[in-house]
Amino acid sequence: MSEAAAVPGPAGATHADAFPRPPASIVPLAGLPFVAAALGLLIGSIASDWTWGLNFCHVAGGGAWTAIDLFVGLVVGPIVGRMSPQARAEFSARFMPKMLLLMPTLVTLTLASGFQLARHFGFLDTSYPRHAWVVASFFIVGLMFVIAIGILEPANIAVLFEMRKPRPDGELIGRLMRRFIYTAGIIGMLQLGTLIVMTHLAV
Amino acid sequence: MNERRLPPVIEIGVVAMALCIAGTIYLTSYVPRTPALGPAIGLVVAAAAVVVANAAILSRVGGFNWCLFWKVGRWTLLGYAIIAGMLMFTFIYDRLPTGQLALLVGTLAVFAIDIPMMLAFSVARFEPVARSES
Repeated sequence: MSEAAAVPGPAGATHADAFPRPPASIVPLAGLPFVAAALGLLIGSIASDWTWGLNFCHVAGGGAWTAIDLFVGLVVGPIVGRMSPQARAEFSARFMPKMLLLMPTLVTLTLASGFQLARHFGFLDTSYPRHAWVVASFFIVGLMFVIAIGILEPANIAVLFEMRKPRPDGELIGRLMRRFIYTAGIIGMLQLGTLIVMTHLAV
Repeated sequence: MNERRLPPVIEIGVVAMALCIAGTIYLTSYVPRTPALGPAIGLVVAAAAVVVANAAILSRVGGFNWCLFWKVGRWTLLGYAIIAGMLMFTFIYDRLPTGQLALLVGTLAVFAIDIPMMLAFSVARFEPVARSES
């Protein structure tokens, strides 16, 4: 609670003073060149019909997206849940800005290259024998998108802004972080569904 | 906490997103052929109506931190424009039929209002008005 955040700590400093702060810029600017490079590779691969490039973007992007979601939801999440509010805040201050840049980039890489690959290989064609699996992957991706944009990303951004306040609300940050981690876990589980679909397509 | 009773902007925004995504899945499931566009048009129009209603509901909220809302909304729109631009590049490069392309552009336009509104609301709802005015 905000009242709790204003209570002086044992060392005389307020709880708010003890909260680590995210960097002045919510978006980690140093990461932008890497994002630009990744998007450049994607655009070049699409424009030149470079199958290897598309495959790389799809496999590397999708693999990292799945692994990060599962790792955050199932490994990091329970650990963060047991941390002290101070440690949790410190973790969030360093972790959340990176996720703000990393995840949309991975999602864009994976989806745009995946759509192109599906087109190149004729998977989108309704006459393709496993077309139903392709449509199933669209549903799973659509559901993940709704959860990511409707629940996960608002929590991510709200945490970053809350931590920049003069007196951050520790309970609110904890609640939003829990929401972020649970939804990352749910998306990770849905990613397993995508893996099942993709491995069916690869047979 | 700085929470107070506010309209369910996020929940309504999710409904609009779901309608848009349903229309997109319907359209892309038939690529490169063009399906009957009626259902997709209906879904996009319904999504647009939900977004307009959501904006109307939000605009009636008093004592809201609009300054921060617009600040977050603008930056989100910029980020979204990059992603949407990427998707549009793919669709145009693939020479999608005009009807499908127009509907996908319409869907992205609805997203362009819906997503920044949801993200901006999710930040501004926890921010006291006094802070933005100081």
